[in-house]
Amino acid sequence: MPSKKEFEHESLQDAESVADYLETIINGIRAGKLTVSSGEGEVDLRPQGLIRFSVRASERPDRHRLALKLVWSPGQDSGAGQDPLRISTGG
Amino acid sequence: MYIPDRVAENLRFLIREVQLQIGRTRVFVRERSEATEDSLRGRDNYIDNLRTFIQRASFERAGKADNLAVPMAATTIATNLERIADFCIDIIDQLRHLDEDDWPAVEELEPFLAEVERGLSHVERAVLERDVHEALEICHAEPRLDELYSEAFQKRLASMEQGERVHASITMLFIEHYFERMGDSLMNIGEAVISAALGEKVKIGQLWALQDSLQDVDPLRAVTDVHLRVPGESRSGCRIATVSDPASARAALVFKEGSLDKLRDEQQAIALWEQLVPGISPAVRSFHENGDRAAMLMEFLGGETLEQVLLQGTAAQLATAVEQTGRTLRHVWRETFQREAAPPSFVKQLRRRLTDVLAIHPHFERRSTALGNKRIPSLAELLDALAEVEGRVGFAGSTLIHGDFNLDNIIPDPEGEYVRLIDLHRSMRGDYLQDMSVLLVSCFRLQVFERPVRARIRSVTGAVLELARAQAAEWGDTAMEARLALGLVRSFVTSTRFILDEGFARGMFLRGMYLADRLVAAPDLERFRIPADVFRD
Repeated sequence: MPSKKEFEHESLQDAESVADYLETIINGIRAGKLTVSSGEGEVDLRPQGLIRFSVRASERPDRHRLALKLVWSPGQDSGAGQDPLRISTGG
Repeated sequence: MYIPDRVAENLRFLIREVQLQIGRTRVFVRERSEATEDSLRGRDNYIDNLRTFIQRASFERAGKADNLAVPMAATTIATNLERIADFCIDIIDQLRHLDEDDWPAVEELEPFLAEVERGLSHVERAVLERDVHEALEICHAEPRLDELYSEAFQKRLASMEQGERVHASITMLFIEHYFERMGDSLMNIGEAVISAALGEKVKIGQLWALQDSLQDVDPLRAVTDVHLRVPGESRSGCRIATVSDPASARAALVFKEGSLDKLRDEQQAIALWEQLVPGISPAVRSFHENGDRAAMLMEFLGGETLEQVLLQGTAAQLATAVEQTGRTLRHVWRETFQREAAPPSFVKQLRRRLTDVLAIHPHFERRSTALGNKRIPSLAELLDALAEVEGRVGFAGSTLIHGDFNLDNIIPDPEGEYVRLIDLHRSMRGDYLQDMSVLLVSCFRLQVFERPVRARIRSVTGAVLELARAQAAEWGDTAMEARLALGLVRSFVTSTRFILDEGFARGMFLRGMYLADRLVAAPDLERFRIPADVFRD
């Protein structure tokens, strides 16, 4: 099993450019492929199947916060070594 | 002591949670971390809910049961388990009175923690397997904790007399006293098990029923000649025991005792299935009525269940077993099909069990939410909308159905043409998709996570889906998939009440919600398709 690969990016942005980032993510989700890379390497994500999606929002006098989380299982070798089973329906 | 499934499962949750609280208390002593304290306090409500649930379910039962010992024992056990958890909170409260210099080393409290843990470790077996020896082990914790407390008492007294760290000594004495009281609670638990078990021994009426039943089969055999094992109570509320011949050491007969109506239903269902497929169900060897009670002695079916074949069989065995299951279903469907409406009642079934689900997983409750202008309905609203969907997907066709068609109730017959079926007491005429949805979710909910096994499970769900599709096409059941999806919503959600693993339970619940959202949003229910991803992990 390959070890976990991680990518993290933090910056300050105005609302307009955050929307730009989100659009890139939206396009990636639609296309089923989203690659994020940094100097150290690349994280190649393939959003597909059922995606667990959580939205968390909080409001405090001094800070507002919105956290989005998407988790899914990669589809590779989903049927590894397993022939599909059939029930004969004729007759 | 016959504890109904629902109560047993919750007792198991409760026992585990109390063990975790003891573990967290140890971590808190060691690390003084706020996170540990938060999680200790955070679980308190959950524990309270479990206890309330068990009490309520037991009281409900007590109204119907002829033997009050068991509901009372379950209540006593739950109350005392919760008390132990409460003492953990009390201990944390006391620890907060201590400053850093006086904070106890873990070693000081370790003998108490270890003894309570040892006592708790016997509770599950004692309670759920009615094991009196295990119950005695629990009881032993009480004198040992008393002993530890009395040693601690002498030690604290000595240091107070010398005027050393008086404040800390008093606090520690309180803490140690809470442990001593945990011992009392453990004692109550052990005693409850023992008294319920002994109470049962003198239930002579049941023994007479067994004696009568056995004499029908073999008039020379006395009840004392056989071994009687009582694995518990079936979901139908019948008492079940397996009767084995000590000479062969194999269970040969199954003995059921319960309400006359339920057992008669089962007997009639068996007769009906037998006509369709001779030998499909265990043969009834004798049936005795006694007022509104009855006793039934049935053949014991050996052999592996479909679940065992799925998890442990070879690929060829599994393929044969699945093929045989399909063949049996198609045969029964064709033989019993009638053009009459069997209105689906999945939403009603779901609503009926929702309270139990939410008692175990309170955070599944979904309130009405909005994200921007996107509105997300509450759970109650979603169910209302689903009921409306259900009204539009009915099918004018009914068959004989099993009623509890899960992997455990199907026994493939390597030598025969058809599978054999057990637990037919819920069998009736109805919607064939009731059995399909129960079977599909009983595959998915297997808590085995190795990839090759999951792939096997998916291959079975795939084959079952195809079977349903082929049958629907033959009958012109145009809204089959939407109706089956409703059945899946029901089974995904209600099955979580038996699932201990929180993450897995949540995954199943969310699958149910996903299908429900899809159904409600579907523009044309006849074109609805169940996404294959629903059965992917």
